[in-house]
Amino acid sequence: MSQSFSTWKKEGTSYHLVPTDKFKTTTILVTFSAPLEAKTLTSRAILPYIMEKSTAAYPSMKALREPLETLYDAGLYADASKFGEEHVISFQLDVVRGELVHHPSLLKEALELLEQMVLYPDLTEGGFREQFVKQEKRLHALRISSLYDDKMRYAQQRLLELMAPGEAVALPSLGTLEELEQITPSSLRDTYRSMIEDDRIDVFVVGHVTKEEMEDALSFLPSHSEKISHYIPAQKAVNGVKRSSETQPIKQGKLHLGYRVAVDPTSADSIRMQIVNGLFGGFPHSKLFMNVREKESLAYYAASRYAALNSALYVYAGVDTKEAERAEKIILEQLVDLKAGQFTDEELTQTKAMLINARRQILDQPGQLIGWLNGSKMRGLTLEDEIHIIETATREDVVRLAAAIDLDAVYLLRGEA
Amino acid sequence: MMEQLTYHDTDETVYHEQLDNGLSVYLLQKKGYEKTYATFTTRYGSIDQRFKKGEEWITVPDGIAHFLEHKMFESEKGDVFQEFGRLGASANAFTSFSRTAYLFSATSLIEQNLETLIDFVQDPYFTPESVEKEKGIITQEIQMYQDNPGWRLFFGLIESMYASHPVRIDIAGTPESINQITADDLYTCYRTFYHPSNMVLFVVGNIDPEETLALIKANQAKKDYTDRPAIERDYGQEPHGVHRPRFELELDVKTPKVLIGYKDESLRGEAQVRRELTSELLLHLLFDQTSSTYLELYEDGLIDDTFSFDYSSEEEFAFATFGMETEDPDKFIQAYETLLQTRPDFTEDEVTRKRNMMQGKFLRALNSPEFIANQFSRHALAGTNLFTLPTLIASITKEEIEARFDELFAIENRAISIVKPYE
Repeated sequence: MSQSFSTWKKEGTSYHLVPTDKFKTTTILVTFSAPLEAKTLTSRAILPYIMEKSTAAYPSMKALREPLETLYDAGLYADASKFGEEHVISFQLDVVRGELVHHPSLLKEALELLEQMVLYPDLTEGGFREQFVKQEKRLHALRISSLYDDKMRYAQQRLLELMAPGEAVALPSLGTLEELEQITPSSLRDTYRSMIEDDRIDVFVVGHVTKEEMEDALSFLPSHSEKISHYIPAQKAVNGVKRSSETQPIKQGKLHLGYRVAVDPTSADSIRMQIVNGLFGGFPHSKLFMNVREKESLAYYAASRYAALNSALYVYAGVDTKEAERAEKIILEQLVDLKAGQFTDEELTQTKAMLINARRQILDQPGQLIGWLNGSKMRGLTLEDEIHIIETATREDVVRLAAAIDLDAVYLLRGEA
Repeated sequence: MMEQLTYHDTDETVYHEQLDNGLSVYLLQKKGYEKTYATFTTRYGSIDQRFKKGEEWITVPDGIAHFLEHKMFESEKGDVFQEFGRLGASANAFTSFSRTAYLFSATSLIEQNLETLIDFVQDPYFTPESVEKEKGIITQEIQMYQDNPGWRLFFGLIESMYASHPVRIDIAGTPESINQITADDLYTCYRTFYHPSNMVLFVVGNIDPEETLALIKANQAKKDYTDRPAIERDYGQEPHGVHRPRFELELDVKTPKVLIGYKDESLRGEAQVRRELTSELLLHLLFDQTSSTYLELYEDGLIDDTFSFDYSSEEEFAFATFGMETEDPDKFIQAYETLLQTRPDFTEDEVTRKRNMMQGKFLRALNSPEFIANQFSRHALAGTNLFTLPTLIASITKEEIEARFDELFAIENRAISIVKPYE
């Protein structure tokens, strides 16, 4: 692994660059981050859907998308997401390298469109265009209610609400129907202005470009005083296990467990915790997969995921509702065994090898590289550092960290079809 | 002798050799990549449930190709996943209508991982006990899909378009059909479809093609494969037109979903690749956000971000689909019926723009070793070549696209599937 990265600040914006010529594309991500709050969430969640559809100079989808198609399917999209206790609006551009299609100015022309989208939205009517806002509100309502149709996501959202009722991390990422009702063309304009004026800006670039080219290309971004980031949620102690269940006319039950993890997400231990998660339910050789699926044939999937930023670990399994109790018992036993050090050296070695493999593969995908840069900026570790931490972790580390995992909530979506 | 094929418009080189036992090996070197990704694919999928065993035609239970895929991961020594795990690789497999693929991705110990992949796929081991145990797991997998509105919508459409072709059977089968599967059935299917002459091995990554080929050859030389007659498969006689024009299903959803399909005739070889690309260009011209109709439909709430379209084609079947989530499926259906009655006038500029777009899409996809291996194997098993796509796209004319419109959108080939909330 010899990939170099560089990170620097200019006019309040943090730049992260991965110069490489191994991809057919150049990928640029610009993110605007603000505190995650119930009162602004819905407005910020719908804003990117409107901004990616037109701009002042390209006042319709057709006008905006035509040049992107001509530029060899240049991808230019806006998106919104939660990141710990921050809300992030992002604009992504990815474009084929000009020399592959004999069009040397390709990137420059595509960047021009990115600038238009970020800086010059269609505010000719004072606010955003009423007709677009109306359409997008209707669509956004559809998106919010569609969450119900995806049972795995629905169950996970319910679990989050059970774990942290009323807290920022449990807010639904698309917002709520009640807040959506209140949105107007001019309230959206205010949300947009606040994004430009108040948000912290980060820029990520993966491709065959230099630092100077990049700064020059993105010089249109607003300059800021330096902003402090505050996305890491405070840790919570467990106070008794919370339980909730619901019944819907579906075939398969969804069992979701939420654990609190008393580990600082910026520490090296948060990297080692991935090993604990891997042994528990992260891989096909993990305790959950081997016992819930392979040994007892109770589920097709039974897995765990460590969300370092939220200091939480989630377990999810799709099971026959009649077997949910037995599945839960087996899941709980697996963690007890892990805490007691009941895992083989081979399992440990295997888990480390898989985690290292996954880290190296990050370098082969522009999107994953950007995701890693963003997720790891709080630790200030390189990929090599992370690999070294995993390689040198011991059995004692695993037992010590497994002890920091506490069951907080159990949610069951019962099937009755 | 290894054949070397360089594609200048993609900046990629593929090495190919067909081994003595019939196995086709393809190697692609991706300089600078950390990962090596390998797929070992057989031309055997869920549609192959009736075939000749010796002199006799036999029919096997629905879902058996997928069941076999699950069971291949068991070897006499234990679980193959664990073996890959020890080598730091992640392994997986998938079964489609017409293929089963086994794969791994790894950043170290590539040679051992590659041998593990080849050896486990070439060494079946099933016991009646392990076959029984798998039934519980696969039943849960089937139930998970039964709760997935998108999957039910899609299969509701396929079942409506096809009267007898086995594409209408769910890839995983049903809890009842998989319950009939025995270890003997699995061996029968294995012996019929996993001969090297029915398979393609694709390796992409930072590999040395010469050394990798030598390793594969040495591995195959150790195994006894005798020549075997061609596989005879029976997909029945699918009548013209659709089986039923409309299908509705109530599920636990909030928003109705509608999917419209046009059953197409499937050609062979490069002619079908051309037909597939022409159809995709046509669908883009009709339904992209830049189409002349999009804005109009958008304003009426008849097209939005949940709208999607696709053209699927395999050797034995082909169809176009489009649909979206909508409060009023019938209004949607009616609007599209009207829209597709008369062919819009496409301009040369539009067509050029779409060709550019498809070229760019293809080049972007080449960032992904997974895309390259999976799609290249699909083409290789159909006797075509993935890397001819840029040239083909460039050669498709406006007239061809217009002719495709007239061919594809015949009302007798249209079926509709709707998933809606319980009354």
